[in-house]
Amino acid sequence: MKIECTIDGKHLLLTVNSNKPLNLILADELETPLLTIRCRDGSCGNCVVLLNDEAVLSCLIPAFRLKGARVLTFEGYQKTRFWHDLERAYEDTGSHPCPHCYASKTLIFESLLQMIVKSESGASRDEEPDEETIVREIGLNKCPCLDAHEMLDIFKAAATYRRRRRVRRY
Amino acid sequence: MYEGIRSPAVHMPKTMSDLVSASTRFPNATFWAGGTFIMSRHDYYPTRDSNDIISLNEVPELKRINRTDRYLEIGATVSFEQLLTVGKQVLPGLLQMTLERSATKIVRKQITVGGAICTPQIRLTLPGTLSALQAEVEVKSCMGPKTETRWLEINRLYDKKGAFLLKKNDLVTRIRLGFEREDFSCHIAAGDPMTNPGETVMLSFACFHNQSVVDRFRMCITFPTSMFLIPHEVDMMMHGTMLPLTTQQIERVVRSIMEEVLSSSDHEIPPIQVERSRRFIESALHELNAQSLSER
Amino acid sequence: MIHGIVIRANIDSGTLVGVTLPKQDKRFFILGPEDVAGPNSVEVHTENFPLFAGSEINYKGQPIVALFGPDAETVEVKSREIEIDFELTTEVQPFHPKHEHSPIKYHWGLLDQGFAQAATVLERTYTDRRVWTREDTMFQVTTWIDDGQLKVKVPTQWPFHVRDTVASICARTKKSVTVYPMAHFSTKDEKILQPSILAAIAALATVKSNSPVMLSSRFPTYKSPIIIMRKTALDAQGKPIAEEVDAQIDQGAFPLFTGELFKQVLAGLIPLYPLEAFSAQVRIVESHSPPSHFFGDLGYSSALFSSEAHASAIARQLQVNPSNWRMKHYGETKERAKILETPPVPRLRDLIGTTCTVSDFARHCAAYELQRRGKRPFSAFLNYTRGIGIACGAGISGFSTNSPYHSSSKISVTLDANDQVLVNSSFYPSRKITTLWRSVISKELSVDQQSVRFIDNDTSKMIDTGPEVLSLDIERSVMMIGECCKAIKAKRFQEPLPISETVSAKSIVSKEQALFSSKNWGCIILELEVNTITLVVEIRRVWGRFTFNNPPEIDRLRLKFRHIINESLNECNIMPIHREGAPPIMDIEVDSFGDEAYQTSATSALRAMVLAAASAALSQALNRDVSAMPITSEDIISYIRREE
Repeated sequence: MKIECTIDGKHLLLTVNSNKPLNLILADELETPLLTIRCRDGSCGNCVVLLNDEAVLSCLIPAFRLKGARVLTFEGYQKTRFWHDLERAYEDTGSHPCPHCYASKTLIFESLLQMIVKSESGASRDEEPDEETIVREIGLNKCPCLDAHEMLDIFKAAATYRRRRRVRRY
Repeated sequence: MYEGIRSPAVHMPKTMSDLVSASTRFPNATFWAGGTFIMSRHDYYPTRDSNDIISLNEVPELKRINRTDRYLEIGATVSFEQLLTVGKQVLPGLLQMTLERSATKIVRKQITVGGAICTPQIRLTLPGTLSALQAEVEVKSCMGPKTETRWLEINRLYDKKGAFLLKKNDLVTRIRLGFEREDFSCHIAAGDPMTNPGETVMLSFACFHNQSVVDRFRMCITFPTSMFLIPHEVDMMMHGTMLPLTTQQIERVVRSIMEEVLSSSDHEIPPIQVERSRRFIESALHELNAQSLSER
Repeated sequence: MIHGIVIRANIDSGTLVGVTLPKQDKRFFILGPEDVAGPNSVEVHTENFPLFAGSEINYKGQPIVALFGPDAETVEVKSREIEIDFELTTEVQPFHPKHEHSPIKYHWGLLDQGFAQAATVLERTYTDRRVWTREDTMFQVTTWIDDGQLKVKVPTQWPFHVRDTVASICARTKKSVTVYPMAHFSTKDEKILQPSILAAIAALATVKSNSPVMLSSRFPTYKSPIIIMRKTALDAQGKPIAEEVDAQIDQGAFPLFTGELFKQVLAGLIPLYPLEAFSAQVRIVESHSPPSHFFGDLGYSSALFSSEAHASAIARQLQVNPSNWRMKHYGETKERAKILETPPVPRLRDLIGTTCTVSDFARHCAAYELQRRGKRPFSAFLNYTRGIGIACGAGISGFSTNSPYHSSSKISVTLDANDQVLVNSSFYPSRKITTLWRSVISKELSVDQQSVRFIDNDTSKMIDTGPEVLSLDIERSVMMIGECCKAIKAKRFQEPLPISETVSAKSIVSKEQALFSSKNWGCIILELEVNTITLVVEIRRVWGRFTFNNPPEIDRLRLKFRHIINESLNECNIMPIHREGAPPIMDIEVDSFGDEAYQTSATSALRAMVLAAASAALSQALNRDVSAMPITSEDIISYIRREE
């Protein structure tokens, strides 16, 4: 199957099996370092990428869903300005995920920050995430390195930076 | 593309009749809603002989949430997240609770209601809740030129062990719920059904009462790979009982349900599942009592 | 590029009868023991194990053959067509010992005399169960031949072992093999030997096919289960007089690093209370299970867990507050100091006092003790199931001072005329290592931190610093860097630049007296609850106080400790449950003492403290002696149902 999509800003025409999981496509096509944790059943939560600006588990996305899609891996996300909000939040709080799950948890934080932006702009009926939602969402990644309070502190710090960024746009 | 590994053809019907036609022409094809369960199987990719795929996501009837005067009708490819967002005002509390607790938002955007009901080898949390709410499903059987459509109570989709009873060319298209809201509901789960099914227990309970007299008492206990139990006798036993329940009544209900749990399995049930089931049932009944006392 | 997959045994023990290959297809080829040019054996110092299983299968997961083909997916599909016939050894139970090595013993004093004076004898058995990493850690090795040189790219903690193994298996000289180590993260030392095994198989395929090869495989890393029996003689006042310890360690089918394992376990087994007599016996057993050795440490955390859990058990037996018992009885012993040299014990007592104050330990302990005694059996709703436990200890890192691994472990530092410094070591220059080394070099040589560079990553230019395990990166390597800098300083303005100095670990450790030395103390208090409905153990609070010699970055250390505590709790099947409005689960503080440049790690000690405190807390919560960790649902059921 031939599939046109954009991965980390690069427009690609992929020739892959229609049911090949996205995480394997990323490993093969981009030669990004192979995700070192690959449970193959969606249970570890370590393969998170942004698909059309929404966080997904890439091991559960088949190739045929990628037509015209925009995929952003952690490497691509680090080149965006949004990454700095989380980078600074990690520094301010003195907490960050361990190297095992750093990429995945960062992208999950990003998906939560987008909920704030969308709910404040009225673009989505989602409410701003409460504590339980934040802890549960980050818990999608099963690495136990961060506890609930660290997750909440990081999110609050990053949310402050994200709101300031929105205010500066106007 | 790899020699020796077939790339499955993906069919994307745009209407219900296209879907029926595709299902007849490709009887071995796999129906694909969210695809989360299919993709989570270790042996799904790569395999030599992957079945063709019929994607259900382009058929508008399957994506709708419809409200009639009697029922709330949910299309089979509606995702959990869509259902939660759109249906906040109309969904029963028990269903909302189950959907929120079943997975994170990231995964809920991909899991579909139909997919969660139709997983072949494992029973997840949604069927138990829909059973407690006495939901019905619309099943279309695609048999050549003829298509038969019928509504079934959801518990008729599974046997006592939780095995899925529909045939290969049967398709769940809609789920419907009545608008009557339960007076008390609770959903308790422990364990992870995907990674640790041998220790996981899920209980969904809905009670309808009228001025402290029990009218309907619907409970469903699910062990992911070995049990889908709806204790009907308890419903009859509890009908007409005054709330709050006495200690003896609670003990009698627990004993009755646990006898059914133990007798419904051919082989030994892991002690943790037995103990959790007992405690969940007791806890649910105590919560029912607490609520009925607080309403006085 | 061709791709490969390792075909592994799916039985615990048996004889290989035959391997039936799929239909003849020129795109694929198989490698087995007959293709090994050198000996079919991976050497680890004086021990070894087979690369491919010969006719005997020794554990589930043992490599039998490897299949190679045009791409990874096709190879995986084709591998399912390979049929392997076994003759099972029916009497075998996989985790039962099949062979026991001679025990290694250590003792002082007269044990019999000590027990003869005892008013009470307390005997308990502690088990640190078999644990393994998820089977999803993917290893990927790439090998190719370039101008006669066999090249290997692999994430590894021990690049020179990869090189030597590949050279031996392929019957080539070491100089003709170059390894390019890649970035890695392996908390449980997953990349100590698996990379060598896979690199050797991939290299054989490259030599056979004259083509670059990529080999991927996934296989878990295992921790050796350790069973420790402790028998203590106590006098009428509850003071320990003598103690006998027997430790059995199951290292799976092929024991490795046994000499060093014994020393690490011994360091953890010797308790902090002085004893007139002590005897420890460590028995290594083999079983039909995957080889297990390093798992973050070499048995120190399991041994320390048993020591601290036992101290709490003694206090429970005597019906005394466990923190008070420790304050009263913990002290210096010269016999312990020969094995493990620690900071002064009064510093530990202060730490225990501080931790107890912030956690209000005495009040919690007394309250839960009263509730424990008032329990009603079988009732789901009428019993409090909370408990609080305390544990403490000293952290160690690195191999013992007389370890043979030191002789091959070197680091070199070169200062050039432009005040640029080059560090040559086979340790991967991760951020943690480079930050530490730059800080030491900058201080010693008065150069800018940014002027410090690290050797290009391949073994043709690198110096062998040995396996990167046991937090050697923060201890011995820092000491070695420091010694290099001192030697350079001595010659700096007397000899022309560049000046290069190489230091071996042997020269550093030969100055030390004890087998291990520690430069920190830690104390953990842990409060938990067994949810009476879901029967899940939930953590309520953790308090940790640590005192470290001159830690470089206290905030980073605190974060690292939080990670380790979270991981250890997860390993124990103890779940954090978030309650809105509740205070933070963890309260960790690190304080600094002294000004020596070198630290020791607290990682393995921290794991031990968490296990020991959890076991003590669970004993209180469940009103039973909980001495096997991690706790399982079967344990909870049996404790609740009061089964023996």
